[in-house]
This record gives sequence, C-alpha cells and structure tokens, in this order.
Amino acid sequence: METPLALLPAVEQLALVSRRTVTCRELVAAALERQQRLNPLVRAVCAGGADTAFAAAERADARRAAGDPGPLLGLPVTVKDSLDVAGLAGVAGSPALVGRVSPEDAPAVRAALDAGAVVVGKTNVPEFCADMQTSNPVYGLTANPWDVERTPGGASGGSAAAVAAGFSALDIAPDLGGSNTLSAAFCGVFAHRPTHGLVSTLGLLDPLLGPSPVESAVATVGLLARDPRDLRLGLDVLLGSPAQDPAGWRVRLPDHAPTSLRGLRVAVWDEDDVLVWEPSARVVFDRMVQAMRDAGATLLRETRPAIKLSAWLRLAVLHCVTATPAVADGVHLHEEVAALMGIPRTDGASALTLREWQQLQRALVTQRQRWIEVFDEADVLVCPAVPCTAFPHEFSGSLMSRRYQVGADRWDAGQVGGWVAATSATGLPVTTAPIGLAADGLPVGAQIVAPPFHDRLAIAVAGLVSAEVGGYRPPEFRGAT
Amino acid sequence: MDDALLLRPALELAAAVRQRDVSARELLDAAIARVERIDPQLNAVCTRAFESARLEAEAADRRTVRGDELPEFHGLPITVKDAIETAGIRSTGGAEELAGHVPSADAPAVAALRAAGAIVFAKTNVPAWSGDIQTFNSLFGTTRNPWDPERVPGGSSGGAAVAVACGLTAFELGTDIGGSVRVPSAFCGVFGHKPSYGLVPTLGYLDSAHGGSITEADVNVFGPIARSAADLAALLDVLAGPDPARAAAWRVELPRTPRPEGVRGLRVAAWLDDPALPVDPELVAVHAAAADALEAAGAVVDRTARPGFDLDRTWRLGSSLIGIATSVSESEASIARMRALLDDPATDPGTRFALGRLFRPHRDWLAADRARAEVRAVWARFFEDWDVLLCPVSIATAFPHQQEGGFGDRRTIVGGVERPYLELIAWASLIGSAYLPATSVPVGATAAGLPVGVQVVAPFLHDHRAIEVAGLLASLTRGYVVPPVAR
Repeated sequence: METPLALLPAVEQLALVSRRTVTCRELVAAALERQQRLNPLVRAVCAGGADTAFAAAERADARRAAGDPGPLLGLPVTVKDSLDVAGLAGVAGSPALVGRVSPEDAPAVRAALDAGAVVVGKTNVPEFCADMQTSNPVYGLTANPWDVERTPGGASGGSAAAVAAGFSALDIAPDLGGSNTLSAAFCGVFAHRPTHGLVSTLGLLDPLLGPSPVESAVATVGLLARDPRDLRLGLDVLLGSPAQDPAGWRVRLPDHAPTSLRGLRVAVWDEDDVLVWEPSARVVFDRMVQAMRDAGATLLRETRPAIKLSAWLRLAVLHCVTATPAVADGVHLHEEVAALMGIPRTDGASALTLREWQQLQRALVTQRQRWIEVFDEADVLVCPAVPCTAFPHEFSGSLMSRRYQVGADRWDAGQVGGWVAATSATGLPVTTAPIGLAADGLPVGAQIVAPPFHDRLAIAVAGLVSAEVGGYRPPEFRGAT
Repeated sequence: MDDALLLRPALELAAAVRQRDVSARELLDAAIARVERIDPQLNAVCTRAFESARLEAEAADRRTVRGDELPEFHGLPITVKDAIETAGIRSTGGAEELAGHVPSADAPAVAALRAAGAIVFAKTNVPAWSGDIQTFNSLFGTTRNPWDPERVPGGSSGGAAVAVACGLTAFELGTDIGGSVRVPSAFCGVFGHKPSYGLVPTLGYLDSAHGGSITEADVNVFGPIARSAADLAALLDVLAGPDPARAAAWRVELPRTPRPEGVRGLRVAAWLDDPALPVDPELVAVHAAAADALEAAGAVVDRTARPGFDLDRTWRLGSSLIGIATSVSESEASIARMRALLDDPATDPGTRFALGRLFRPHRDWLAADRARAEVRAVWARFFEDWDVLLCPVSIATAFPHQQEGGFGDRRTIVGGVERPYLELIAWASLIGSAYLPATSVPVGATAAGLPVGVQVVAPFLHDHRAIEVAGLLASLTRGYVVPPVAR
C-alpha cells in the first residue's frame, strides 16, 4: 500500500515539491487533513490554524515559483508550545498564559520559517514542561498514537505524537532534560538533541517570565522526525540561528558521517545498577545490538563513561532545575552531589547559592570529560532511551512521588527517565532512533551519543541502525473509538 | 642594541626581529636587563623564567636564520599577568593557596600567544584572586605606579600595565572583570582592550584555590595591554576564537569597519560625567579636550546622548553580577567564617550586605541575567545611533596606596569628596557587565602629571571599531608617553 503523503519523510515531501509533483499547498493540506481526522484521538496539536497555514503555504508556492531555493519550502512543521511562533497562541500549558498570542518568532523558529517551513500547529506540553507525560489545565491530555490509553511521554509528548501521527513532517522542540528523547522513544519517532550551544534557545517560554531573553545554560532546541535524513536537514536549517552572536561567531559542523556500520566502533552501555530493563523492551534493544554486530560494527561492551551513574543523575537533575527561574527554588542537594561539587554542604533543603551553582558547573565539566573520553575508544556510544515502553496515563500524586505501571512493576520517574537525563546533561549530541516494537506492540528507542559537535555522526548512525532494524512505522491508534 | 627599542610598539619590535635588525635573544636579554634595572623600584614582576625563555629565544633565532615562515609576534619577550596559567612557570593568582602552583599547561590564550611567536619570560603581580584595583599581596608585596611610586598602578592587571608602560615587555595579557585591564592601563598611561565577552577563551584563570578555571566566569575576559592601538588590534586577532573544546565547530570573524576617511563623520557619544557617578573634574576636563579633538578632526560629537537607562541602578546591577562571578574565590573556611558573621546579630548592616552575595540563591543570578539582557538591548539600540561611546574608565586617576580594609568598606577621596571605593570601578563595571568591548586609551595627564585614560566603547563584537577609534584619539591627544623612571 502506498504511504500517504502526510506520512512521508520530510525529505521525500520536499522532493515532491521540488519535482513539482505536488504544491506546497497540497503538502500542507495533507498534514492538516490528517490533523483534522486524527488529532481529536490524541490531542497532540493544541493550537494553530488552517487559515494561517494555508496562507503561508501559498506564500511558499509563490517563493518556489520565483525560484527561491529555501531548503524547507512548503514543509508542514509543528512547534512545541514552549517556543514562540509569531501570531499563534503561545501558552506552554499554563493557565496564566491563556489568550496569549506570541508577539514574535523565537530565533530557531525564524530560521525554519526563513527556510520556507509552514507552521501547521503548536504541540502540547505539560505545565512548566516539567513532566514525563503531557497534560495541562489549558489543553488537557495528549495521548500516545500507538495506544491512546498510554502516555506519549513528555514534555515533548505533543511533538512526538504529532510527528508519529503524520500531523507534520518535522517538529521543532526545546529539550531541557531529555524531553524529546523520551517522547520520541514512546511514540516511535526519531529525535535529535544538538550539541549544547549550537542552536539558539532564545524565546524559550517560561510561564512566569515570558520568552527568555538569554541563552539557556541547559536547554537545547532539537527536532523530531520520521526519518533521520529529516533531522540532518532540519539541523542544518536551525544552525542558521546559532546561539553565539551572528555578528562574529560562525558555526560549521564536522561532516564525517559513516555510510556503513562496518568497522564502526560502538560502545554499548545497556545496563547499570541503578537503571534496569523491563524485559520485553530489553529484547528489542538486544536485537538491535545483534543487528549492528551482524552488519560489521565493532561492539565495545566495557567502554563507558568512568562515572558513578547515580551521582551523575543527581547532578543532571540539579543542572536542569537550576536552569529555570521558575523552579530553581527548593533544590535538594544530595550528599553524593555535594561531594562531586567539592562542598561540605549536605543540609539539602534550601536553594543552591550562586557560589554552589558555580561549583556545580565545575563538577559538570569534570564529569562530562569522563563521557567525552569514551570517544577515545569508540566512534559512538549507544544506550537505551527508555528501558520500557509507554505506560498508561498516571497522574496521581506529584511527579517525584508518582509510580507508573510498567509490566507488573511500579516504576518511579528516575527509573523511566534516567537514561535520557543522563545523556542530556552531557551537552553532547544525541540522536534517538525507534528500533522496533516490544511484545506489547509498543515502540522501543535507543540513543546514539556522539562526540561534541559530531551531530551528523549521531544522525548518520541512527540512519544506519534503522536500516537494519526498521525505523519509523505508522502508529495504530489502539484503543481509539 | 639600544634598549630603548623596548619602548616601541610590539609590531615595531616584531618587524625588527623579522628584518634581523635584532635577534630574539638580544631582545630578551635587553628586556631582562630592563627588569633588573627598573623593576626593583616598582615591583611589577613577581616570577622570573629567564632561563627557559633564553632557550626559547635561541630556538626562535634558529628559525629566523633557517628562513622559516615566522609568526606575527615571532621572538618577542613578554610577561603575563600572574592570574593566568603559564606552563612550567609558577602561576599564583596572587594567592597564598597557589604559592607553589606550577601549571602543566598554558591557558588557551597564552598558548595562542606562544603560537604567535611570543616568549614568556616573567609573570606580573596581581592582588589576590585579582580582587582589587590596587596591586599588592602577601606573596610578592606591593606594585607601584611608574608615574608616582606612592600611588597605585591600578589593578588587578597592575604589574602588567607597569611592565608595558616601562618597556619591560613587548605587550601583556591581562584579565578584566570589573576594569582590571582598563583601570591599570589608564592609571599607567598605556592602551588596554577589554574584548567582548566570550571572544577570548578565559580557561586557565586563577580565581580560586582549585587552580586554573575549567569554566568561564561571567563577565570576565582576557585582554591585551600594549603601547599602541595597532598592537591591540593585532593581538586581538591572535587571541580571539573559541576555546579548544569548541574549536571543532565554532570560529569567529570579527566585523571590521574600515574608515578610510579617518575621523570624519564618526558618530561619537561623549558621556563624560554624570550626577549618579560624578567624575573628578580634572579628569572630565581632559576627557572633554579629547572629545573636542575628535570633533575638530571631523567627528560628530554629541555630549548629551545617553543610553536611556537609570545609571545608578544599572551600574549596581553590573556590580552585583561581578560580585556573583567572583564569589568562587572564597575558600570554604572563609565561607564558614562569613556565614557565622552573617548569622551574628551584632554584625553591621554594611558588612552583612557585602557578605550577602556569597549566600544568595542562584535564582537571583538568573533574574539578574535577564535584567542584563534588557540593558544589553538598550545598548544595542543606542549603538544604532552612535558608532562609539566615550566614557570614563574610572572616576579618578591613580590614588595613593591604601591597603587597610577591603573592597566593601574602603573610602576614597575624589575631587575633595569622600566616595565609596567601589565607585572607582563603577564605569568599568557598567560596560563590562553588559559584555561590550572597550578600549582604554591614554589621552592626557593631570596637572600633577598622572596619566588620564578614557574608554572607547563599541557595540558587542565590534571590538576593532573601539580599538581603531582609540588609535585615532591617541594620535590627536597625548597617547603613550614613557614614564621618567623608564627612560
């Protein structure tokens, strides 16, 4: 059966436009048609408007007719609701912002629009983007298109669900502590978290303070897509909004991307004392590792960062919460972290002082170096994205006290999100790839981590892996009525 | 060779080496002889690395003789501020905690200078952790101003500015978080450039007992000090770029705004005094004469143009950001002591306020950072109308040594009026905390013969514009003059 237009990878949709097989307007119409039909089942797109999208698509067609070579000309994209698109609602799931219309584009969005992208919707987030599920008092609950009784993940649940369901070809999404990775894994799509500092995070929406006028020390702006080629194309476009002042700073990524897994040195870190697998998800990961070996990759089973993962995860969480003025208070400082920071304080309950924050930065740099040393031996590091599949919606209690139903067990947030938190705090480029379905019929994802600025390497390896184990497949909307 | 050659700009020295008028070894020996002759009166040099430098100079001369391609500053002997790590040469940050610290590697900025041909033969004195605008510490004692030894050379790059003024070095590498390049340059009558924030890697900075920094402190920059604006421009090109960890992807291409017509048509805002931060009237007069000279040469000078923010609030915001960034310098033991002081109800409110910065939550910095973003936006709009801003480096010239008390509680007399010591760096903090590039340029002297400098401030990353206008100003005014002690 022929793949519907709206489910084609972005690069193939764009190829159809450039061959003049379809118009920009037809591309956008196909995405909007799917949204109209299927979004009510998952509520991934929370705002937007057919009118503005069609008008933008027509402008894209005019640009194409005029010979404009914009690399995303006519491509339907969605934007996570924590990033502003001028003229569209920008609410970030916060009741305090209901009715707010974004006054201007965030620089990352601007870069995509300049390249010809057409925004076909904003995608839903949890309030304060501080959850691994996606629900808020303004737009309600977003469901997983594989099984609407289950979560699409968070905070990029709307983004991942929208891309999986074919509501857009590409989603632009800020990622603080692994939101994109986690959501992409649960929804069976690809995601890329750029090396920290490459893509501008200006305009990141804080519900209390508005769009950020400063670059984030933690967050990145990344992409979700159905094909790794789309990530590469999208990243090239987002690099048009570099995080350093364009008056003097230029960025050019190293461009060594392998075309085969043969001989590729892959560090495989698949388990740790503090992060265990749900067994049926592990089967999928093991199958991927075997497929990489069969394709000629050299697997390095003992090569991993020389860190204590439990302590690193605590640093990672601290790093994330200190990024946002809204949540920077009341940080718990565990003694394991205090030791890494070289400070005697273990009282824990009060907020980090400025001086302690600087010691945290120092500890992060030292520990990140342990991650980077992995690449003395390996080309890339592969690890789980989430060691289980999407769990049923669960909103009892608070994020930290809550327990999720995983198989027969109850997992806490740390067990679910540990791997994505661990890689996010490194600042390294991370590509997430869907690697198959577990016995429950739900997607499992893997993370490919590359050295700093070798974003294209991580994306290329994701492509090679998915060629072995099958990449994106359309979701089934199980449980939808 | 005539050792007065060492009083020439670095680019002239480099040309002399390249043309084989003088060898690197001869230049180094002359510099060492000048240190031996002049420095005992001033105490600018705190650590000598003469032997290793002689070997390097001889190696440099062999390259010259072989006809190798020679880097821009080939064979020039330099001193480096002791707040910056130099491989194999003791680097203390002026602090007892690092009295025996010999780094195994150069700070990236020093490595860049060495790659450009410079030979490090000595380190120059700093206050402990670069935390003052005078230059004295318990390890190496007091550095003196070459124009008046009873006065301070400024700080924290005080030894550096003295070494440049007296021709002990071809040029210097200083650091500046609250005026530490600009203030001593002004007090000693030399040129100093504070680059746009982030432009020059600041790893390997010695601001805490940890040793060389592995993270970039907010506001802090490394910048060159020299005897000509042209030297600053050439040095900035050597120094500017990403740190090694980011070099795989980032590079910098600084905007250049060539002005073949020189001063004509240059739009200059002159903000030379302000009720919120009054400047010594004698300095204001010298600064005003400099602005007049630019106008007479064809510049459009506006003496009322202001960026439009509240100056008092804005410089205090900058001061607060700097206070935060320098809070890492305190040891855990002193933190505990200060915590006890803060908790003691008998502690006076002033001390309490000064200590507070160490214990404020990180959230406060996030808020201050956002407030700074607004200030930066105001500056960006201001520079749509003006090519450069002229403003004071400090409210005063070099003042008499004053070693009692601390930054928080000292007072200083400016134009007969007692002022908080902190206000001495208020103008410098205002500009630095907004990340703007600024060149400190000598434009005159007081009746007592003390040098007077002014800041030329340009938009973010338009460093070359600030340096270029500084050069024009120097050519129209007094510029660099050799202090009598160094003749």
